[in-house]
Amino acid sequence: MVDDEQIPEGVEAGVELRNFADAILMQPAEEIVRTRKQLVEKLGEPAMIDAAAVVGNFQRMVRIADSTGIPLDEPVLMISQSIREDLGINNFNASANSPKLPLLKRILGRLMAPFAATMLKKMAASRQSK
Amino acid sequence: MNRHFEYTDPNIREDLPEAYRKAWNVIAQPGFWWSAEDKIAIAEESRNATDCDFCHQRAEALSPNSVKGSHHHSTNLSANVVDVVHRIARDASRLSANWLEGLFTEEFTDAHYVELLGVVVAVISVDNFHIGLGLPLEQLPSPLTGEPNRRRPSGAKPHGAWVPMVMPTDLEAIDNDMYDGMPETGNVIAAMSLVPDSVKLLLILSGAQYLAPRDVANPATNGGRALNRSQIEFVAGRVSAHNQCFY
Repeated sequence: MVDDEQIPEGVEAGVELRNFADAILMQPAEEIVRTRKQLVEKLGEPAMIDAAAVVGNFQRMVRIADSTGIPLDEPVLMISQSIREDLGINNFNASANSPKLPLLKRILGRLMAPFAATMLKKMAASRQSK
Repeated sequence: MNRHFEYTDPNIREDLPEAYRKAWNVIAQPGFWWSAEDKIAIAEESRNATDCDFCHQRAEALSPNSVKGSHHHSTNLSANVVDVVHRIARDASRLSANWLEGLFTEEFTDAHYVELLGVVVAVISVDNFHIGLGLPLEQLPSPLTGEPNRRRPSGAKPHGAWVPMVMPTDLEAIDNDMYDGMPETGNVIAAMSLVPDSVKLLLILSGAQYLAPRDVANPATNGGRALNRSQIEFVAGRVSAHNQCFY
């Protein structure tokens, strides 16, 4: 897994956002108060409120995904292959719900790694324009 | 009747309490398969799971099935239904297709499961927002009268998930607006489509807590939020990783 301390790099107030999200997930009251205050000081109250809303949203979405066993589409599986391997996401229990790529497609996915972010954005844009 | 979600903090976007009120209203109505009373009971059990010792012991165990006991519960729902609610709330990443298939009976079908899931996750998402802001949990709505309509969409088909799904191309006229007019949808939304109201509930909440469906696929927009898109997706990723969500 990626080192916790490296995660927030590149995201403004990443440390404060991470700590606030973690506090909501773990729910020790005093930690929520402390991290909420830090986030408000850094980004303001509207941003803290939006962060709490996003946490709530994904507490819902992850349970829907895990409770219904939905698979990832194969193109996304292939393009995101290297990202999932690097982040250890393939070790999650729910990875069993998606088809296993054959060796050739896994290799292809690795070769496409430098372009993964761009290709995923293009796929999203293509879906939106339909 | 009490008006729900009357926030005093002016920094809370108005669309959030509006969405929460709509969600509470959907939960309060008789469903497709569950009565309104049952839906409120399901909502109550999703809250009971938070401090359920049995759920905690299971979550700590190598296999959830290795721990015997009973859940902290306060409703008249059957023990099996309470177990389903608590597992979704506390240990969803270890659910399996075999477990789910073993649950289904004439009285508890795949559609009952999807509707139950929709209620559980709606309450969890709203409650987490309140927990983050240090607000007390909102009182659950009072059940409205009426009978479940027991309507199963005819376009529901297997699409690789544990439950049948209705893709946008297979929608009946009565459900035409289910995906907000989008010609394609993500599996995570279609996963709830066996019960159209569950998709409605999901989209109501996602549109306010995250982004409107049309904005989700456009990485250049933040939907007018106070966080930029990178920050939004960073928080989303953190929550997903914490829950070991592969999708």
